[in-house]
Amino acid sequence: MQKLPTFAHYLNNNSVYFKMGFVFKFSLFILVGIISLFLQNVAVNLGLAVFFFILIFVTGFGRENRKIIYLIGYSIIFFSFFWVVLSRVPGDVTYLVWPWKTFVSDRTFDLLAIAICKWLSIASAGILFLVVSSENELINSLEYFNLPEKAIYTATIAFNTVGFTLKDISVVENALTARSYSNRGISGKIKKIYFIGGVVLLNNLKKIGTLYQSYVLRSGDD
Amino acid sequence: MAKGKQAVNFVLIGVLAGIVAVLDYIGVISFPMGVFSVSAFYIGSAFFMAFAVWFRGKGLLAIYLGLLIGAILAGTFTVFAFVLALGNVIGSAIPMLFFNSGKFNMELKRGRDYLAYIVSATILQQVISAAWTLTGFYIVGFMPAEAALAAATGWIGGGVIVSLIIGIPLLKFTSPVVKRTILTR
Repeated sequence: MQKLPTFAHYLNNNSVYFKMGFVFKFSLFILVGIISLFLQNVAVNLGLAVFFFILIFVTGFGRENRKIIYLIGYSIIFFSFFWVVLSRVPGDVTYLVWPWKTFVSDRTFDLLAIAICKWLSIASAGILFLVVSSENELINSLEYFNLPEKAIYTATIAFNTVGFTLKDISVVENALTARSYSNRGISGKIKKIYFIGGVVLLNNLKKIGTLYQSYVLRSGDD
Repeated sequence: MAKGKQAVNFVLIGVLAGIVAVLDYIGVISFPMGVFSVSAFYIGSAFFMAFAVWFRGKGLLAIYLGLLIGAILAGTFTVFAFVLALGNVIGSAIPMLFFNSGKFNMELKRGRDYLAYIVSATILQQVISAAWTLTGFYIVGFMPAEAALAAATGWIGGGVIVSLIIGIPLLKFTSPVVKRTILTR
C-alpha cells in the first residue's frame, strides 16, 4: 500500500487521518492546546497526554524519531529543576529550605505535577498533529479558503526553501570537510557558522530573482 | 504598489521564511535549554535582526511565518509556538526601528551606529524576547516567578554573545551585498 509523507511521518494513503481534513485536525490541535494551557487538573492533562501518545504510536511512529521524546524529557527536567530549586510556594509542610531562601513544600510538588502534565498534553497534541498532517493538506486547505494565490505561493516557497537550505548547508559542510577545515575550538566553530551562514543566505537571496521569473511565467502577473 | 513589486515581496517573504525555519530548527535541535523549543546561543536571533533591519515589515512577517514552520520541522509545534514566535518578532522590530529611523547606518560605519546596534540588538532585542517568552511561561504556570532571573540570565547572556559575534559582521559585511542585490529592486 502506498504511503504518503506527513510533517513528521509516513501514513498509508487510505489512513483515517487523511480523511479527517486538515482544518478539523488543526482546530482540534488548537482547542486541546488552549484547554490544556489553562486547565489546572493533573488527571485530565495526564489522561489526554497518554491518549495522544497511544494515537501517535498506533500510527507506527518509529524509534528513529525519539529525539523529540528526548526534548520532552529535557523539558520535564528543566521544569522540575526550576520548581524544586527556585520556587517559593507556601504549603502545609516545608520539606527543605535552600540557602538562597527558596523552599520546597508539599504545594511545590502539586504545581510541578500540574506543569509537567500540562506540558505533556500540549506537546503530545503537537506531535500527534505533525504525525497525522501533511504539507499538501496545509496548502490544499489554504486554497480551499480562497486565500490569495500569492499567500499560497509564499507558503509553498517557504517549505521548498527549507529543503534547498538544508541541502545547501550539507553541501557547504561537505566542502569544508573535504578541505580538512578544522572545526576545533570556539573560533573554528564561529568561522564555520560564518561560512555556512554567508553562503546559504546569499545563495537563497539570489534565488529570489529566479523564483520571481518563474512566478511571472506561470501566472502572467507582472 | 506595482503588481510586479508585490510578487517580489511574496517571493522574498517565502524565501526568508524558509531560511528562518531552518535557523530555528538548527537552534532548537542543537542547543536546547530544556524548555520545549527554547535554546541558548540561539544563532537565529542575529539573522532575524538582520532580516528585520534589511526588509522591515516583510522581514518581520517572514520571521513569524518561518518560526512556525521551524517549530513544525523541529517537532515542537504547539499552541505555545504562536506566542513564542511573537517574542522574536517583537524583539527583532527594535533594531529595525533604530536602523530605519534614518539616523543610523545599517553598515555600521560610525561609532554611533555601533552604539545603536548594542542598545537595540544586543540589549533591547534580547531583553524583550526573553521577557515576552518567560512571562508567557510564568502566566501558564510552567515556571515560578523566582526562576525568572536565572532563566533570563541564560537567555540574555547567550543572546548577547550571538548578537556580538554573529550579528555585527553579518550586518557590517552582508548589508552592502543585500542592498546591491535585493533592496534596489
